[in-house]
Amino acid sequence: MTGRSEGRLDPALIRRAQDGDVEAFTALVAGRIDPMTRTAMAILGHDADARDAVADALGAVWRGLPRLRDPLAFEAWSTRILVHACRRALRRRGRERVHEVAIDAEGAPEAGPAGPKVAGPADEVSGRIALERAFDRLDADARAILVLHHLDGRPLSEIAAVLGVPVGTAKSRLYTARRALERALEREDR
Amino acid sequence: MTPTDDDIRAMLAARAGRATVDESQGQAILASATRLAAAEPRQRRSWFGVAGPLPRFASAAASLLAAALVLALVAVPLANRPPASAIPSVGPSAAIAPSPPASTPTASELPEARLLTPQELGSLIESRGAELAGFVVAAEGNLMLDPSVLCARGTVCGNTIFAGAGASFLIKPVGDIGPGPWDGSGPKSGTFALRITDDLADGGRTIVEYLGDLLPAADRLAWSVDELLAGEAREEVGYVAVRAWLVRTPFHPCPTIQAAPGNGVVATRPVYGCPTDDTLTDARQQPLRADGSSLGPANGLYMPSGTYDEWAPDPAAFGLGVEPREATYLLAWRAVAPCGPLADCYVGPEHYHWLMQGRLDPIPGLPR
Repeated sequence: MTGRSEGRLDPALIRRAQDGDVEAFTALVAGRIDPMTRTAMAILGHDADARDAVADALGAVWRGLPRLRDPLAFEAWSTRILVHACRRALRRRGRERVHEVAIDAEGAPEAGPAGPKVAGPADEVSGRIALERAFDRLDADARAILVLHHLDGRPLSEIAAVLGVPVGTAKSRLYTARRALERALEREDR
Repeated sequence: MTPTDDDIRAMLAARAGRATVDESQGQAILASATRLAAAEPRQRRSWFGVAGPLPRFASAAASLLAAALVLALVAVPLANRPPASAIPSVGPSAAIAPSPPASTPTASELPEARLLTPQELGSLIESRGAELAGFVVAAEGNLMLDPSVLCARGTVCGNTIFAGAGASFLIKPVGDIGPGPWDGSGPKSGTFALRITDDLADGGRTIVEYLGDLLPAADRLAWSVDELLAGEAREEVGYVAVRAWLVRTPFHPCPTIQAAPGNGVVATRPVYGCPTDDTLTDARQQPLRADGSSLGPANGLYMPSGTYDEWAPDPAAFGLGVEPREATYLLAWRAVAPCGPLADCYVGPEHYHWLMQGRLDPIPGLPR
């Protein structure tokens, strides 16, 4: 499951929400809360921050809806607002919070007999933990573009639309973010 | 270890999966959003913004409230004012009018700046190009080479046009503009700061200058000062619009500048605040105090001296100071050399600042 909402949003519903119809707005965003929270959680890594970012973003969506010219662009536009809210949340948070990495019970390292090291579930988990720590070293924009690409599975053209940049810029930013993640992971592995 | 796409995907999926939005939390978020929606009712949208009697009524009510607030605050005895640390202006005993408080919420009549479509821009220039010469506008679209001009393979020829805007104008890049159709880098899509000129190209087409890329805020065109102070605008983007109040202090003495021997370096940062402090703020504020001193805002974006005099719309005196002026100003992220004019020294990221480059004024007659 990805963070994207499935299916196309009803343009008529969006237009009604643009006209100030609160019920239409409620119907419009009700189905977006879960995917938006997953995207925010992937970027921020913290549950409460993710929920706050989604709430902030939905407020901005309501305020900005009358200025949205193309209802078909609603999904990309609202995701852009969410990314912006995540950036703000990350900046507010700063570095004061110690990140906690959850380990699934089924994937937790187990004590085993001594012997030649073979890659197993424990290695996978420790690798994932290191990768997540490396991801947490990235800035909000690098995190966002990796989430949009790898988690949401968006093509570059959609990422460009979400970020409001040309496709070429999105491509180079994705490459830069990927390299930054690799460098951060190298530091984690040292 | 180099992570594979699958590694990254699995890590992000696990991370996203830790989001716990149960039904009650989802309803709480939804309730928060819909409470906001119910609390901020709207009339019918226009295709670019809010229209209708309600905002006008709210604006008028806010104006009355603001006027009452100003009257009440001006009536407060000066003895009750907090002491202002102050930059002495010319003569503390100079007779001036009582100043409004340092930060006064005021209702604004300024229309919200918005992006023009290619069709709108083309139509405006075709019908009113000469009248609008000098206007800076924000427009969204695609810059490309004129497809009607055939170029030899591997060469760049023809003019740059704004796709979908018709044939009334050409785009001329000016300044530090980066790659684009003009250098063979291909079409360029996005949001742009453009200046309408009264220059004509061969064939009588108006020349519109491309100043640079413009980064809109998340849910509107113009940023707030607070957002810029928080660093929310990405710095590699050339231009941003900010809707703000511009004001300056009265003239005051400049500090003594000590030149370092030999290389002419005069300061480690731009010497703003001499002979005036010019600031942009979200709320209207008047730095000039009733006792003749002046006090800058706690939360303002400082601009070089002279910014008010150059860019404030209808600049006007207020005692020894000036009247604050609200507008949608165009700012660019620029290096401000910390060195003297003849020095050759390092200019690092810390030397970049927002500098004013223009204004996005409302275009008369254009629907809001």
